[in-house]
Amino acid sequence: MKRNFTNWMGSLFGKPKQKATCCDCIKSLQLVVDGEATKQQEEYFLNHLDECMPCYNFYEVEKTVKQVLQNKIEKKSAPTHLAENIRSRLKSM
Amino acid sequence: MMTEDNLNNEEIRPENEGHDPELEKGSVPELDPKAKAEKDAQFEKEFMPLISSLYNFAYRLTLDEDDANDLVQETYLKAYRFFASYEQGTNAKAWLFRILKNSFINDFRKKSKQPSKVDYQEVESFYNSDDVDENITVDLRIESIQDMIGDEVATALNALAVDFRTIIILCDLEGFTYEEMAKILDIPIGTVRSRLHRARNLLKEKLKEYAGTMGYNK
Repeated sequence: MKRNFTNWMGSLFGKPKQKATCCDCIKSLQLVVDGEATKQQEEYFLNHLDECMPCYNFYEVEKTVKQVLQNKIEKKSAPTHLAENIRSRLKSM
Repeated sequence: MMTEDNLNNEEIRPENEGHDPELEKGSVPELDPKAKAEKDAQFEKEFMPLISSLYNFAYRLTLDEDDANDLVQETYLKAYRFFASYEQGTNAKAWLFRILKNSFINDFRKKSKQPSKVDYQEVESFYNSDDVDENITVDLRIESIQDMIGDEVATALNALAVDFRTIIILCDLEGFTYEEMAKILDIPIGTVRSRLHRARNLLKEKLKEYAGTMGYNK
């Protein structure tokens, strides 16, 4: 909401719409990386990246950290006996 | 972003929160064998396929295989006990994660004499404000992160206080939405965001330390 207001203020005073403060961008960055941004927020943010190297770099780092967490951390599988133990406990309940 | 419409506040709430000493006694209302067989089949179909996700979560929380086994077992027994309150087709995974996380906190508080464990109060007051630190930027090179192996990333993650670790596990490893995490953790969405933001900054600091010691950074 705040950012829309900034947009609106920007257009009101004839500033290009992409000149959001980078402070605002850091907030939407997280939403974009997590897939929680609205279409509008995302589009706005991705446009901004073309014009702002620090935001671009920051975005790439955040994205990479997330990917590394998703892909490199071993997913522990439950030991086979665990499901059997649970099933036998449930039987007697 | 999810809207309020597709959320049912009750959907992942067990009827009874927290640790239940009755659980160990197995005091589930007696069902006739046919009804019990039906219940068991449904439970098996809806909940048992999630066992590895739950185990992984439990392991990442406790960092111990035996504790993880106990926690998963406790979670399933509790879910079974309150299975009547579960609405089919709703978010079974979020519900089970919530039960597991609550059981973990209860067990954890019991063991809180242990000095090495995190003091929950301290953690709460540390991040409870919704203010997001805008100024923390960690200078971390993408290549240095990409070059890390899983064990190094896991070690960095494990070094975080349990609540920061939890939110990263839920979001990045398990892919829950903010809305789901808010319900699992019983916190407002604003707190999900700010906690996640802090957790990631802390993680990046840890990763940077590793990158430094491993000579990744120049």
